[in-house]
Amino acid sequence: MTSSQFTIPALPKISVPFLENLPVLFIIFVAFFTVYIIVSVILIYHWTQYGTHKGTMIFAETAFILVSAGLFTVAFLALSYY
Amino acid sequence: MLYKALHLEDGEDVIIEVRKHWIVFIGYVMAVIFTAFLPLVVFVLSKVFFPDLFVNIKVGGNKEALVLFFYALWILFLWISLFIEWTKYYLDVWYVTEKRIIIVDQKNIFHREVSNVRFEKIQDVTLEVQGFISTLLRFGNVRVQTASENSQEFFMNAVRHPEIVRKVIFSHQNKTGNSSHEPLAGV
Repeated sequence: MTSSQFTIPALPKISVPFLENLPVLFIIFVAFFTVYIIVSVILIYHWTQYGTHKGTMIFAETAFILVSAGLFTVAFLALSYY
Repeated sequence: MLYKALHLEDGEDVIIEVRKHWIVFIGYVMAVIFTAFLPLVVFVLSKVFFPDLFVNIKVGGNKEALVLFFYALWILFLWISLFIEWTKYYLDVWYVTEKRIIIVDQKNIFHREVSNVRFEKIQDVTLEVQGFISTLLRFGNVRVQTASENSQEFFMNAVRHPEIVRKVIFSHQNKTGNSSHEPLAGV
């Protein structure tokens, strides 16, 4: 038995049809954004209603919104270049 | 400090806030960081062991842009979950005032329990510091037991400086002039 008998067979061509459809990706983006808005409202409500340290709350809100905005921008630009 | 939500009585102030140690949250942060890098690790390993895998995946447009799109959404998902976990960590707190302990148990985002324990009702406060890390970073479990007919027990794990918490509770319990360590009437 020689080592040549153990060669890995070539992988089949994989096609992901729904990813070729830009509107589907846009729907994913909008759905994600909608969920984000709902979760953000819930979180910010909790922070403002039950939080006891104003500075901590402001820092948390700022970090959460700024980083999220940055990541949404990256996702949107990636979608534009697709 | 904003203690509006606690509905404190006139002349009542919060003496100490009892919170979990930061190590509890750091554990979750580390898990999130690891999960954030996981797709990159899988991608690099796939490139090394299955170099043809990504060549064989056919998509309509720019492949790199597509990967970046999904990776950004993945990081966003982790970012949101991090803040959900932080909210649970931050709002899970005991407020010790001159008259009582206000126990806020933030079990999850939509499950919040608030209990009041008056000092005269407290029978015992026990703390448990177990293990090397707990001793080094000074955190442990605190258990408050009430002496009423329907005796209740309140518990918080990984509390920062549990000795100080117990000391503060006992000192204010003694100030109320009704120490639970005195024998109960009729017992």
